[in-house]
Amino acid sequence: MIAVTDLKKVYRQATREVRALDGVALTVPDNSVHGVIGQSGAGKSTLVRCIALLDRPTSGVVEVNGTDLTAVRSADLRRARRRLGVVFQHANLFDSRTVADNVAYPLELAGVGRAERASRAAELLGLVGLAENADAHPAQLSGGQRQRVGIARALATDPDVLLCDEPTSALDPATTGEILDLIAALKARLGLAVLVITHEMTVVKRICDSVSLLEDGRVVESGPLTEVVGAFGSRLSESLLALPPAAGADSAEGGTVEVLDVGRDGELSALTTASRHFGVDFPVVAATVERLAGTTFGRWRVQVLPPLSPDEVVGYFSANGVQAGVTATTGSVR
Amino acid sequence: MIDFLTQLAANPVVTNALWPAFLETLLMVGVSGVATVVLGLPVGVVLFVTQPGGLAHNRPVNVVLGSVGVNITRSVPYAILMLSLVPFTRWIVGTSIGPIAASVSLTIAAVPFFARLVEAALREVAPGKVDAAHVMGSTRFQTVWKVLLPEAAPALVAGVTTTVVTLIGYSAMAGLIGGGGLGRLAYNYGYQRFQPDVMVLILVILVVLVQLVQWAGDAVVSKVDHR
Repeated sequence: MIAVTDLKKVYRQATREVRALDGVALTVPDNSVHGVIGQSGAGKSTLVRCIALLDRPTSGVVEVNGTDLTAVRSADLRRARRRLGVVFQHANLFDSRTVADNVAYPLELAGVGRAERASRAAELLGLVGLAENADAHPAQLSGGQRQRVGIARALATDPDVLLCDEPTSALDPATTGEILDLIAALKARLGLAVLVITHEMTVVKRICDSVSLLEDGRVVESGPLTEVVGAFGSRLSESLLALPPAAGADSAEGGTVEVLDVGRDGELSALTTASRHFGVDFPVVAATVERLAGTTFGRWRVQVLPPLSPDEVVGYFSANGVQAGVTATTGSVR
Repeated sequence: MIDFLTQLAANPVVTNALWPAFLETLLMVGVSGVATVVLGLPVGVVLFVTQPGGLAHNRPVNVVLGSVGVNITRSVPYAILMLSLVPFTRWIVGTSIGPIAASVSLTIAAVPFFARLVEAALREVAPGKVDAAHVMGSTRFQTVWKVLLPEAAPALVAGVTTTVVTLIGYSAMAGLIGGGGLGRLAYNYGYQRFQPDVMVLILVILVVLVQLVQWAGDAVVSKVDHR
């Protein structure tokens, strides 16, 4: 497991202080994937560099299985690092080495003998589905294959924690899916605590058990995926259940109401139930449905026509345990 | 043309002096080439790792080595450098005459040149690879030895080739103050004794030599380049 506590990083630029990280806290238990999502400039890269101790945090604790990486130095830090595998956006493989020798590099540092290195590298390459390519050089591989090698290399020393820095941002959508599935499968198989830093919602939707939203160096929203998505109006809920733009909907007659429908057993019935209750139609102006972490979420924006008022509809939903809110009203409402 | 060649083949300069002079040139270039790589590689590595933000950033070392050591030596024209180094050469080798003595000034001229090429070659290695080496727990020495140098190998070999070609050029100059070699021969016979045929022959030999070095260097580069 990995636990980050009150992580701060302050850069001094001439006379100005830049707070790149302002007290970040995260915990990723074993056998789970936590996503940190944020826009460029939110502090994602600094967070990765500080957790991997490529940059020293100004203050705070980075604990991997109980060892505080910020407190150990030189040889102890190098040993502690073997518990933490890092996957980079561009894989950062060594072009001068074959695929197998890339995977064996961390073992070489750990003083593992040649024969054992070779067999372990072969085993790891089998794990990521690249057993055939052991003797190839990285330049001969596709981007997705290179990332697989990067993952195998990160797992060479049998770490407990996998830190993935934008692991799929340089890949096409199909390859992104394959790499994410691989990460999820390895997590389950090896019981890894995986921390994924990304700007892609796809990554969060596909593999994360929990998620944090990073903004200006702070975690502004955080929690299990179903909880943050199920929180009506939260930033993560709105981004993960993004609605397509609905032209002219807001100026429509009456008003619009937004409903967050959570179908624990896969059924989304809030809207039809309401429609039957009021005996009217609710024209849908925008909608999205996602199945995340085993739960189906529906977000509807519907038109409420006079004489029914949007507030009345929202009131009905709230009374029935469905989160809803008024997004627009026009003067024509009584 | 036939006349020209028979005349040249009968010329005692060609029959007696050419081969020893050629060997002297090879000796000068070989000795100074090896010495330059052995001394220049570490200097280049130190220049790279001590730069601001480098693996072992150290401003005083970087400034002293870069500005004082490398830049000053590189701003002295070779013709002047070799003359001013005569006492030093005599102290090291015991004489200032001969190809070995000439190698001293050749090495001192070429080390800073090669060190800059090494520094530039290392700078071309993607910083992400150094990050990767770090997070896997490499020591700084391991990062240099197992990652930076192998990753920069193609550029380093190209740098060696460029340096050897430069040394062939300088060795002609070094020949004039006692180094011997093809440069000396061209000057004594081709220039001072008005034997243009000797001059042409030496030019051709030098052109072929440089081509061979470049060709061999390029062959090694493509062998070590896996990008």
